[in-house]
Amino acid sequence: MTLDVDVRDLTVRYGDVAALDRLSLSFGGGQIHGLLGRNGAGKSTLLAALAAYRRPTSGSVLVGGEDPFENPKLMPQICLIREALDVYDTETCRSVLSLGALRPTWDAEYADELVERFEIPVTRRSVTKLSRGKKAALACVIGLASRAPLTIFDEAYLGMDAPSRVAFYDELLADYMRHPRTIVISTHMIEEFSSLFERVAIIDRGRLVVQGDTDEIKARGASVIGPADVVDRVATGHAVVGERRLGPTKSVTVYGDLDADFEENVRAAGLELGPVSLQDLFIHLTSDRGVKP
Amino acid sequence: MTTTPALRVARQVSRGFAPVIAIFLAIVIPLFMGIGVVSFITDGEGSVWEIAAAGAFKWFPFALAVLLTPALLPMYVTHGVTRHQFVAGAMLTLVAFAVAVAAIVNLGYAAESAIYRAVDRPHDFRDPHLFASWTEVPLVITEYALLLAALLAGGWLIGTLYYRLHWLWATLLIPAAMAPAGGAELLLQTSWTGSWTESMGWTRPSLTVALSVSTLLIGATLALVYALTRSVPIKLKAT
Repeated sequence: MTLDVDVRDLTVRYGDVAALDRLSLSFGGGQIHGLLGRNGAGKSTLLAALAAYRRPTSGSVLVGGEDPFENPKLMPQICLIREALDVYDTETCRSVLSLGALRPTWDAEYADELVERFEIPVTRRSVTKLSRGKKAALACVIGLASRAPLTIFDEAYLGMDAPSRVAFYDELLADYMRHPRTIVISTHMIEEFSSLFERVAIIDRGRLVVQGDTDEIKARGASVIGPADVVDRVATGHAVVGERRLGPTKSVTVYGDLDADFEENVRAAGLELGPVSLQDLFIHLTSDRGVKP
Repeated sequence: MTTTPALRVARQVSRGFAPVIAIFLAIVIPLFMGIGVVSFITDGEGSVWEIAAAGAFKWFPFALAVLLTPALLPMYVTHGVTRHQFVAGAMLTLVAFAVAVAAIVNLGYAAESAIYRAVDRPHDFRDPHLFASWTEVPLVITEYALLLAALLAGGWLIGTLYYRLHWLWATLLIPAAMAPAGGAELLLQTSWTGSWTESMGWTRPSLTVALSVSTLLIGATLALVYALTRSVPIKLKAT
C-alpha cells in the first residue's frame, strides 16, 4: 500500500517568521522522493506537517486524500524519522523498539535483522548511551521496520559513518522493492542520495523552486564552457543560474528548456557542453546570487 | 474515542514505567521496614507506613507524571499514535496506577498491623483519615487513590504546560495547576492537611460532597491536559 501527498498553499508561521510560504507540491504514491533545501528552507517544517507533528497555519496537507492531523486512520500509516530521534533518552533501545508494535505495519523480525546488520547494542542499553552513529542507525531501523505506507526520513542518517550509510541505502532500496511505499528523504548529502531519488523537490525560503523527475530536472541544466564572449553570446536568452571565470575562459550553468537548437548552437560555437550534477544544480538554484528559474 | 489504541497505549506506558516503579518499591519498602525497626527500638508511636504513604508514595509518582507529556508524547506520535489516543491511554494508566498504589498502601498497612499485633503494639495513625483501620478497604483505597490521582493529574498538567508554553508562563502557572490537587486535599481533610484543618477548627464536608467534588477536580485537570495536548506541535529535540 502506498499513499500520495498533496500540499496546497501551505503556510506555517513561527511567530513573525514564515517557515513555509504558500507552498504547493505533491509526492506521488509508490515512489522515492528527494526533498532538498538549504538550512532553514522549511524542509523539516514541511515534513512535520505531513506527519501530523504540527498543524499548518493555513493551506492544506492531504495524505491519501485526507488531512493527517489527529487522523487515527492515517497516523499509523505515516512514519517520520528525524535526526534527533523522538524518544526519551533514558528509554532502553528494546523498549523503544517494542513501541513499534503500536503500528499495524511494524515488522518486529525485520527490526531484529536490521539491529544485527547495523550492530546496534540494544540489550538493556539506554538510547542516551549509544554513539551518535548507532543512535542514527536505530532511527533508521525504526523507519524501515515501520513499513509505513508513507515513510519520511529527515536527515536521520547524519551521524552514520559512510559504510553504515551505504548499508542503509542498500537496505532501503531492497525493502522498497519488496514492500513498495512512498518514501520522502530530506538530505544535504545530495550526491550520495541522488541515485535513489525518482523525483526531487527543491524548496528555498519556504517556497518551491522546482519539482519533477530527477533525470528531467538534471536534463534542464547544462554547463557551457569556453571563451567568455562566446559563452555569453550563446547563453543569451537562457536562464544562467551560475557562472565561474578562469582568465579568458568562462563556465556558465544554464537552466531551462534546453532544446536541440541550443545544443547545436553550443557545438557550432566550439564550446564544451556538459551535464550538471544534481548537487551543482541545487547549489545554483538556491544560491543567493543564482537566477531563479 | 477509539478504545483499542488507548488500551494499547496504556499497556505500553505501564510497561515503560514498570522497571522504575519496581526499583522504587525495592528501595522504599525495606527503607520503611528499617525505620519501623528503629521506631520499635526507640518506642516510637503510630504507623510508620503512614509516613511512606503520605510522602514517597505520592511524590515519586508525581515526578513520573510530570514527565508524561514531554518524555512520552513525542515517542508515541512517532509511532503513529494520535494525541487523543495518547491522552486517553495515559489517563487510563494514571487512574489504574493510583488505584494500584492505594492497594499497595492498604497491603502495607495490613502487614504493618500484623507485625504490630505480634509485638503487642497498637496500630494507630498519626493523622486523620477517612478510615479508622486498614480493614476498611474501600475507604483506604478511595482516600489514597483519589488524593494520588489528583496529584498525578496536577503533575501531568505541569509537565504539559512546560511542553506547550514558554517556561516562564509554565512556572507562573504551577500554583494554578496544583490547585485541584490542593482542593482535593482540603476537601478530604486527611493526612497532614487533615491535621492542619483540624487545628484550624474546620470541619470536613460530607463524604459524598468531598468525594464528588474531588473527582470533578481531577476530571477538570485531566480535561485541561487534553485541551493543551490535542493540537500541541511535536517539538524538534536538540541534537
